[in-house]
Amino acid sequence: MSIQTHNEKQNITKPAKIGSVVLFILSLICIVVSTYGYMMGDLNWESLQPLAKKVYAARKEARSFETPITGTIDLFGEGRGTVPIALVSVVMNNAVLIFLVGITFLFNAIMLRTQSWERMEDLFTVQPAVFFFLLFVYYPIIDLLRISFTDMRMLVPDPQSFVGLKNYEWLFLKSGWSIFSESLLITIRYTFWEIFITLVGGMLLALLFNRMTRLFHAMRTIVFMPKYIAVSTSAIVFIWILNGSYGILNYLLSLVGIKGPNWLVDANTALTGILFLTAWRVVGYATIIYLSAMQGISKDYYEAAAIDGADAVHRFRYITLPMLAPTTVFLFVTTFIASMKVFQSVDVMTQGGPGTATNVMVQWIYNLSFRDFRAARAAAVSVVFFMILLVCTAATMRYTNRSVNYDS
Amino acid sequence: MMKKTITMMLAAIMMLSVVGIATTQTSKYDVTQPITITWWHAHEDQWNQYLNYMVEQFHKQNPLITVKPVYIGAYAEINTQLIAAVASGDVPALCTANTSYPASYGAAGICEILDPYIKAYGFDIADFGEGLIASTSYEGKQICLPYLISTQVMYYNKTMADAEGITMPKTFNEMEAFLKKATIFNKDGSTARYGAVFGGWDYWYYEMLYKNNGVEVVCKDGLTTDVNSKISVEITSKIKEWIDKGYAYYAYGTGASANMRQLFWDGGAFSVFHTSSLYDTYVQQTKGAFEVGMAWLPGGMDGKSFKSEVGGAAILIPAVASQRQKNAAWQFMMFMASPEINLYWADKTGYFPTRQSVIGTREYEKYLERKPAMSNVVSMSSWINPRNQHPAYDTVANEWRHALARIFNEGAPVKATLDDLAKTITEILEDF
Repeated sequence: MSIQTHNEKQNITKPAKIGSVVLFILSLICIVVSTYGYMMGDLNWESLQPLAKKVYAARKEARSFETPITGTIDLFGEGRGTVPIALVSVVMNNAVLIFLVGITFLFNAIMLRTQSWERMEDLFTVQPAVFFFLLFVYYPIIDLLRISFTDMRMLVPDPQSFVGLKNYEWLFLKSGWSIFSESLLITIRYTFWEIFITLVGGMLLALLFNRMTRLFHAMRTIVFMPKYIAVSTSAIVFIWILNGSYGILNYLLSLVGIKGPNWLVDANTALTGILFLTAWRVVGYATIIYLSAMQGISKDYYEAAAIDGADAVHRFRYITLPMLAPTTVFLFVTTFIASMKVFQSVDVMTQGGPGTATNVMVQWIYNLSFRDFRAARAAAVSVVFFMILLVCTAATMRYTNRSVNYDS
Repeated sequence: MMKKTITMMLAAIMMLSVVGIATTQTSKYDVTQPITITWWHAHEDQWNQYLNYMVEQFHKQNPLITVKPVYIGAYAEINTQLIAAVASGDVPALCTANTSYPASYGAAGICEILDPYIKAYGFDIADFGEGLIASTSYEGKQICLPYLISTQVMYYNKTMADAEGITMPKTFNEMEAFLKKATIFNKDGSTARYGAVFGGWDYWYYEMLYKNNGVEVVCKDGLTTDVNSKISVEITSKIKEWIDKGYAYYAYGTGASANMRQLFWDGGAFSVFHTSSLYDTYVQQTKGAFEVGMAWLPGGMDGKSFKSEVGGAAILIPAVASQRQKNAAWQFMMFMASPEINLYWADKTGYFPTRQSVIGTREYEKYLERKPAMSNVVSMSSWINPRNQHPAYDTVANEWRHALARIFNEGAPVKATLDDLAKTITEILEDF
């Protein structure tokens, strides 16, 4: 946003100035009130615990008898800050929302003083989306960080106590480290193979289907269909395909004299079994993406190369591949993020087993939360995993921005 | 005359006050207005008709209360959803939970304490027997009621047993002779028919083989384990020997339960370790090919300990529900746990009749006539014990299960693996 000139600032009307002052006062109230509510609720501030207990007791009684919360609470002692408990309860429950509303008021207060009305109209249109993003995307990430410094357990979410770096100590210096490193390695292995299958398999099928005949139209539809089927449904079907004793895969292998392993029970083949499902699902999607990109490559390049005597391999290496680089980057980044976060197929097919053979990061986080009920530890692992993904994605984008050619 | 009148008046006042007290005691928990409550359950499609029958009968008897049963999924899924519901405060009035969960729920205080309701309505909790009462209590407080109860059993091919003169083992010591007789080998040395299949997809199916011999995965102090004790190593080595010789196998991993059952129905296994609740399924799926027998698990080597552990489901009321919901839920809970409904479920499924008062009734005798195999198990029901109440038990026992898979299926050394396991378990227990 450019700095306003003196002439433009003179266009700020009196109502805008009054509105700015009003919004500023409202923002202060919201920020102060929400901070107080947050300290009493989520942060479980020690000096505010007696007050919080009264609120929890009033909530319990109201919930039990399905009546509104009644009674008052003296916030500052000696009758100086008597407010209804219901109001305090609402503030505690919605502290973050009120805080964001306060920030929005503050932002608009400043903008009303410094920007023209036309510009304000633009700002008003984007604010709801930004607000939604802040509340439902960024706030949960920040709260995850907060939870990782507490002793929160799933079955008893409130109140939580601050424990400092205890969870991170467990993760990096105690028994958590061996599980973390093993889980990360398994996840990286899975990710490597999914990216490989996506890029190589998608490219090969796209090259094959890059012909405009009726048969290949049908084949394209068939190859893309797995993307429409729910992961959990297909995972259940694959459990039976890969069954060591009664599965069709081992039956087909037996016809050619091969004794198939117990795919999902043998620690050496369990991850491979999951990758079968992954391959079936992802290769069609990558094929379609590559196909669309291929059809966008100008034929002039191929004609010029043919005239110069380039064969099919040369044309693929020096024209098709470089021209598909942006698509490859897109597929790489999206597949990387999605595969690092793999969960559904693993949870349905193996629940991270046998033993820890397929214990990918998200499966471990899920087990920490819902099997062991250690929400704070799960939060710590999630934060670290988030940082790893962030760094990897940023590095990938930086590298590819430098080395990828975008030809319009 | 005056004296007599006063005496009668006093007696009348006393009677009225007793009635008044009784009225006061129950009125807090009475349902006085129409209410609809939600019940989360794990009953799959094949049990819908029994579920609907039960709910319809309840509606006839309690017109003020409408029960809305909602199928959530398996017990693990109900657990996940209940945790989220409790956190949000939007809970069902009644919830089914696997018997492995009450210990954790009790520790977290998320179940309504049922003692005041039991007292107010004079509910005969003692009719369940000590084992079931203990399995649904926490620190002496009743936090749920037994609902569909099962225990570990061995299903066996009774037709083969009668034809070949095979007797089911009563103790762990008798297992080897039993397995030798029950196993058939092919000419190439591979196993044509396993003597037994150990259920390795859930520690519940084999843990009594250890516990009846004094092994405790979590010792009474809650901080130590003796999974690597001499007796545990001995039992594990013995089972491994049987598996290596082809007498048995350890059914572990995805599809293990389904594979084991199919093997049994195909005649590839003489006996399997499983849950009594699947009795009807086992019988139906033989399609008349053979008779299914049910035997109690082999007891301890000393011949004195025949304990088993409670399985199946309990029913609970979340503590954060409103009092109106709790009152209505309690009425339904009493109905579900009544002797009549309990026997109805036992008759239609493989779950146990849990109310001792049904024993000896005409309906109970008819039930045993229809399911003669159940009598072996029902007669031993006094040996059913609660599960370990330590909140970390499930985590620890699963570590044990995986370690046994490495030993039985991957050839890991017994002593070294159990020693490592003991260290892992100790760390987990210290941490909890």
